[in-house]
Amino acid sequence: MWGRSPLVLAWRPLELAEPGTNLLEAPLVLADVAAALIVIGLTAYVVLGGADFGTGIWDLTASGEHMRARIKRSMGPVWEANHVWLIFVLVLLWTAFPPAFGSITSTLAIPLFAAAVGIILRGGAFALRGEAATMLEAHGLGAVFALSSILVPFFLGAAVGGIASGQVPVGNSEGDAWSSWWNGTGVVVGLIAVVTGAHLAAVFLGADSHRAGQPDLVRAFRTRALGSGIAAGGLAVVGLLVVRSDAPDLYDGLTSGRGLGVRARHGRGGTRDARARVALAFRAGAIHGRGRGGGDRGRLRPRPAALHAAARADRSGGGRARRDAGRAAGLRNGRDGGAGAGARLALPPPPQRPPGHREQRMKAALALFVLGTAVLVPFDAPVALVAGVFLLLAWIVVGVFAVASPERLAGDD
Amino acid sequence: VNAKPFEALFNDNFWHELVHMYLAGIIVAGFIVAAVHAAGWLRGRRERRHRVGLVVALTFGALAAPAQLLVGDWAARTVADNQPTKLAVFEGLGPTEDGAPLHVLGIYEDGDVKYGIEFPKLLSLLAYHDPNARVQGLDAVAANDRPSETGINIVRLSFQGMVAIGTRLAALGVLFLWIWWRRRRLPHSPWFYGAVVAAGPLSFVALIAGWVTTEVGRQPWIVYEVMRTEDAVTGASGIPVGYGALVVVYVGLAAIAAVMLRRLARKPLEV
Repeated sequence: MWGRSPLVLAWRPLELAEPGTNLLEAPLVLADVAAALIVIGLTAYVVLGGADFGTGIWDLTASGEHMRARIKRSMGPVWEANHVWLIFVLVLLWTAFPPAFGSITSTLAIPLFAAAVGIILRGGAFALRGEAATMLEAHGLGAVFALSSILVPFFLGAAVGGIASGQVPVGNSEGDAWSSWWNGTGVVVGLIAVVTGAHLAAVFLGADSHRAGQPDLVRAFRTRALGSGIAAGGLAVVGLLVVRSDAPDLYDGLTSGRGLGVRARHGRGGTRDARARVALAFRAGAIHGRGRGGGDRGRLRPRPAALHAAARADRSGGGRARRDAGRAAGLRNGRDGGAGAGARLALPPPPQRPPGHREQRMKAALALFVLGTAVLVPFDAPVALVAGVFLLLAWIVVGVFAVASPERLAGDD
Repeated sequence: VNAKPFEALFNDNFWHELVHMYLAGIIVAGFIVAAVHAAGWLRGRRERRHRVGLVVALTFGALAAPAQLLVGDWAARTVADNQPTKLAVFEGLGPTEDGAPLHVLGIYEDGDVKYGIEFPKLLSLLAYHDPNARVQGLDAVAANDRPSETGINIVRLSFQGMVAIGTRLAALGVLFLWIWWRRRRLPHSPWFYGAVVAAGPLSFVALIAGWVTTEVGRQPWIVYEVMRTEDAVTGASGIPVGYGALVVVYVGLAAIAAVMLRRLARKPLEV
């Protein structure tokens, strides 16, 4: 089914494929569309949100205000916005696969809750950091921000690892509250999530420094990207060994069939062009997710830990991706320049109207209220209710203009 | 499964709850902002910034509050039609009866409201616009298909608290609009500004009380007459710990927000 063009995706009745059918030939079912959207959203969150978290780590370890300013400029416009992907994934999972949602959220309540608290603290610390009055405050908020930047991806990754290793059975809190995620696979995937985020962030910041013409920062971020990339690759190899003993089914899935292809690509990748990789990671991550998503129908074990996917896929390069990255950077650039342009709008002086206008407006508002009451209260017909509600809303709007008009506000007692 | 998501979203209870909550949002925002400025007014602040802040915010609250009474009446009528048991819970109406009375205050005990002030036939009049209409009581459903006695008392307290606060907000709003329109000035009495200061937090209490009314009032159902709350609740352990942690986080955030706002108030940003 994944071979088809998205154009032929049609709204078909929910039906399940016969066991043993070739999934590429099987009819497309609605559940597949929902699952595909979830995989796309998850991939986007891992790549974009991961880079967001990773930037927090580089912000903590920044070598100077120069670097910190670059980070702020690069990430400022989109910082914290990437959580919309998480919300998107959660809502889709909840509406399309309620038993899976219930099973995951009840068994994995601890890591998911910890991640949620971390997201709140991170957003709070980020928002407040600019307002810090003393060094102590600034350091405290910075520490909260950095700590949550590490803990949130770890806990989310651990939750994914728990699901991937088959520790989350279907049912209300059927799995163990701790061992379902605090196990080899969970911890390894959690660590990979943290390091991958740091790598993506370093790549992106390096590309942005290049665009901004700051060669010293390009070098600094290149070093960080290489270091974190090697760390992520090493963790992935170690992780594979952990997975082999911890979750043999997952290991088989990763070392045969389509999973193998992606890993092979990962193996021969280099670190040639930092800029191309972020955009490519996005694309390749999606492809990788697709490869697995099809094979897992009917099982509550989405084998593709998309985290792995993104970690591995981002090693290759490509011209198209380079263009994409360039375009994205251009967009950001435009936004940077445009910010603040609307801030200095001169307000024209309010037109002076004779007081009679006000009187009429107030009477009109009162008439709307009386009419709304007369329509809404005695009748039950939908048309009367709708008319009554709109008349009452109109009373508020007209009333505001009559009561709090600029000329009245300008007058003194 | 033949799910109908649009029918689920735009169900018969959607519209009145949407409009009711929409107006509640305007009222709460209006009165809370107005309360801050009224407190400043009582301390002698009279500059233009204060005057504009007070009048604009108060205008929204004052206009929306009377409209909310009417929308609330519509909401109650819809509840009477769609969820008669819930209406009986609002009023603590034990037996089904024609020309049902309305009790203000009092305690629901053993199928009846005790120590309350009774208004004969008022419930029938309000719910069906007919003083002799039949109103379904709590006895129409089995005891385990309706809230417990404690639940009923919580709902009655919340519902009456919401109505009482909402009515006072509307009265305060009408007073302001009248003086502002006919006498072309703000009220002089410090009592008025004291009432506006109180209206801020009270409007929020009314909003929460409204949610308690509708959510406790439909117990034991989480999906009305389809799924029980006990069947929907998570089996995860340690939920009280999680809730405790959330309380700590939000109290901390609120405290920090308060400190930051005070700091900004002392040293406003350059505009």
